Amino acid sequence: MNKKHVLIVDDEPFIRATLCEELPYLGLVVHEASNGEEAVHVLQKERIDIVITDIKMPVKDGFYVLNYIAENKLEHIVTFVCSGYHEAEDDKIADYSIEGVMRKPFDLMELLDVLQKYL
Amino acid sequence: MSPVEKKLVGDTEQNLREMIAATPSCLKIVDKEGRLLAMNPQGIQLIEAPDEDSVIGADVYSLVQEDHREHFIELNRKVCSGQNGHLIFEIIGFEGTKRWMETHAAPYALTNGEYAQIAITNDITEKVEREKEIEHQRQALVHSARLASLGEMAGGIAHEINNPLGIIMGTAGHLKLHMRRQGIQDELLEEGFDRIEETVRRISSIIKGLRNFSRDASDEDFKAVRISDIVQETLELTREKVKNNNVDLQCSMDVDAAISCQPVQISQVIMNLLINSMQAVSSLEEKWISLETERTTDGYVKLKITDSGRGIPPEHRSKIMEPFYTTKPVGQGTGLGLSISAGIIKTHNGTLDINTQSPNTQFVITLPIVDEENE
Repeated sequence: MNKKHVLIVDDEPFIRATLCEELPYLGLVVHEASNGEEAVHVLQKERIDIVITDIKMPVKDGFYVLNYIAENKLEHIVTFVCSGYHEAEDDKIADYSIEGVMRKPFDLMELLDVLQKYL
Repeated sequence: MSPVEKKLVGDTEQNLREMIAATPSCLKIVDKEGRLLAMNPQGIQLIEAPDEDSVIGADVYSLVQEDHREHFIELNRKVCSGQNGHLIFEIIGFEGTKRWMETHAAPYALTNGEYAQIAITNDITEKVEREKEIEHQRQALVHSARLASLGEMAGGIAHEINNPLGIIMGTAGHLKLHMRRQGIQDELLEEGFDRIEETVRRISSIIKGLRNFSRDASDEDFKAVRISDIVQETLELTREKVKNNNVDLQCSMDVDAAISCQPVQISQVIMNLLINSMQAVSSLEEKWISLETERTTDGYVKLKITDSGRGIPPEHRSKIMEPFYTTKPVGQGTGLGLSISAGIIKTHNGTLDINTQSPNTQFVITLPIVDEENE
């Protein structure tokens, strides 16, 4: 069985590091990007199954990634938003097809439990 | 006297009396000791006396509200010594009605050579109340603008702080999983990571609370929320303050009832009462605050906030809900807290009262319970 590919998009290197170290234990192949622009580059090159993206990031934000997925009809991708609490984001996020929203600080075990369902 | 003047004034004492009686202001003469010598029907009506005869010779000073009495006596002295005077003051009528008065007084020579004061006095209660209301609204706006800017800042901080908290939390979880995978069984480490995670959650909930608390919530939607949840969230924000002040805080939320409310507004009221209590008990030997709920038989929930203070002195009770009334030192209170709080509770169809029966200082918020399912 082919391993699923997950893309972590976050400008916090330590958050990426934790997930990059932990997610392979679920049997996932992990890709990372530190902003929206980098994330789109990865999406153009790799066949990604799951995206976990922050919203507020330098260069291009999380909406840039969500827009790219929506515009290119990448409907096979399961998308999660993982962001620090910001109310203004909520209304905008509702416009996209998103599997789940995780608030930072998130519980790693809970995140792993959620991801388990998509493997 | 010209024919026109004759027509207006008349030439008999009877006509003059009629003119005084028809004057729409209170017209009175008071001697230098403060005794009423004469008063027209408008004045009699304002002081709520049955008729002129029953008040002639009465002490006018006692009708003036205590805080204004000295000023009134001063005015009377000045006028009775031959000068004009003007004063705005409050009276309490014989039936207890309070009214704001504006008086213009001049000396009036009596037959014995002494001066009395003759004065035209108007009821300006409506105008004063209107001005107070406008000022109250202005201050409430300033207050809510201040909260809104604090909320904006808290929103920004929330994002900045939740990211590093995410790192701490994620790393703690990562290390716990690593230990399990490596077969490391170490209670100290496990507990340590649990503590880190719990503390992160606490910081996060303080930030969330601060953000919710400080935003302008006057146009927030009404929704059904359990009163105990609002209390818990508010307490989270005061936890450190309570601890730093060595206050023993007891909270027993026995009633599981929901109220239809603007939760942030209710939280602001509870916070305000808690801060008042904390300031009140800070100088006491015994420092405690307790919060409890009680369900009434007619469908209300009472939230009682009691502190170790000995109650509100009777002379302050009627005034503490009024805007700008404060007994706190300059800089510690604007005197707006309780009046705004009472206003918020009123818009929720509830009441904010002082329980005078309690041996300690106790404020009671009473709100109607709603059926959570149907909201």
